[in-house]
Amino acid sequence: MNFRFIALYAWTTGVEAIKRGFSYTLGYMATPLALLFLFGIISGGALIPLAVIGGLVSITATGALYGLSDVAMNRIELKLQDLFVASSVTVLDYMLAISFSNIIFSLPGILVYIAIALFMHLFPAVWLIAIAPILVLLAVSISALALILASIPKHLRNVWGFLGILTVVFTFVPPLFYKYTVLPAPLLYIFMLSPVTSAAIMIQNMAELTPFLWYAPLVLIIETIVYFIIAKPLTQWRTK
Amino acid sequence: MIEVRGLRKRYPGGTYALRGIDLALEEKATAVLGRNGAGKTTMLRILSTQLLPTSGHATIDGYDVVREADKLRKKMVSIPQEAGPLGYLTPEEHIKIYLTARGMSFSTARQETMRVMKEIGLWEARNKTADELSGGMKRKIFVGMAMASNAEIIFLDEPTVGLDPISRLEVWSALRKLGSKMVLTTHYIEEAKELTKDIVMIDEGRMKAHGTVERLLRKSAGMVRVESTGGEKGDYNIGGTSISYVRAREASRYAQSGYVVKPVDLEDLFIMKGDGK
Repeated sequence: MNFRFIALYAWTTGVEAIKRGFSYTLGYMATPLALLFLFGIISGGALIPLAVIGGLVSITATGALYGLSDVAMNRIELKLQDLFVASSVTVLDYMLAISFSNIIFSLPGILVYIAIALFMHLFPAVWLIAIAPILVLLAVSISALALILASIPKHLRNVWGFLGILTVVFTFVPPLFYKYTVLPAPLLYIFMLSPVTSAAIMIQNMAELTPFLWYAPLVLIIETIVYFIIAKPLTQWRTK
Repeated sequence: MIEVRGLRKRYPGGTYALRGIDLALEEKATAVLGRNGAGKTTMLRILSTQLLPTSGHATIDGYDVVREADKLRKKMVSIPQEAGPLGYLTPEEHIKIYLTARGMSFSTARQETMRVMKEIGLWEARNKTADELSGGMKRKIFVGMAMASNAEIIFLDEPTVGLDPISRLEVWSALRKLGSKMVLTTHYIEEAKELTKDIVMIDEGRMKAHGTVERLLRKSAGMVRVESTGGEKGDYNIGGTSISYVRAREASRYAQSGYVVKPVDLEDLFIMKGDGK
């Protein structure tokens, strides 16, 4: 594995993208922050804890999902993927580089939400030790899915539409901003196919907003491994 | 040495891009010439391990491009057609990322990046983002990647397509500094002659000619090109222009009739071997 490439690509495209285009970073935060405001107003403050946790998961997932547009842009428009294919970089290196780049790019938003959560005493600071790996697994698994999906569109224009649908499917429909307990079991299992569901449930559990769901961590770990493994053959790396 | 035997490529939609190419490239620099859609890019992408062929074989220095791609990738660089930089990154960042992708350490990548940027005139622009650079300077980022990599073989797909004449000259100047074996595709005849001595001409997925410019033109020695836009029919009629190839001694007769007489050049081999008729 080419760790130097992964580190340099992630750092350069993550940090420099924040420094040179902060409005884009703010754009990631806009929708969850608007929902936080809306939930707070409508519920008289009662739903704010759920909105904060939903926002934290949503901002991480959205950042990773936007990896889809990066990958598609690199492949279709800029031809940078071809450049990497004909080098020593493997699809796994590329996938991790994109994942970590997205994590870095989402960090300002993640830090804002963690600050709000700590300020509201949603969970003790020590829980961050557990929350950090949850968010990393979430970003990596969604990035793997994004890489697979980015192989499908032939035109960049289709990617934007695709992304709009996926953002709704991944960040609004699953139980991020509401308690998973309101869902009937079959629907919960379907939503579990998305790593955001198990990630959100675990953080809701930590904040004692919902009862502990023992298999949620297991699902997130298995999904990350499975999506990562299937991304390799399903990604259009060396073109057939 | 690059050897290609019976190379075919049929895309999933059914389009044949290559219909059985056989060739051996031994020169230090080779230009693959052909019209748009001739199969140049497909051939280059197969040779540079980005695309799998439908059938046939290709080897580079004895390594099979399909089975031994990993070994080959360490030896070569491929700059895709119309490759574009990430607008928010600087030339320095692009080249460094690419060099680490090739396995260089951070310190070597930094040293090589600095060296190459000075060598090809990117130094002044090193801290500008790619969005602030001209087309020629953007292209130089990729030439810089190729140069800094110290690869043994460099594949360049249409290195100056879409560039203005000044930018093209800048890129040519940078390409002349490459010390490696170079295979480039182009549909600019001038570019092929400027950068290489060995020419491969392909059309509709088939090889039409291979050799030095002099050798390729030897077959039409003693001939001139006569062309007219006056509506007369020629051997080849392209758009409103009729083109014929006649003995040089007949040139004056055509000139008196209003035809434009030109010496035969590589462009004419294109017309004669293409489907301009």
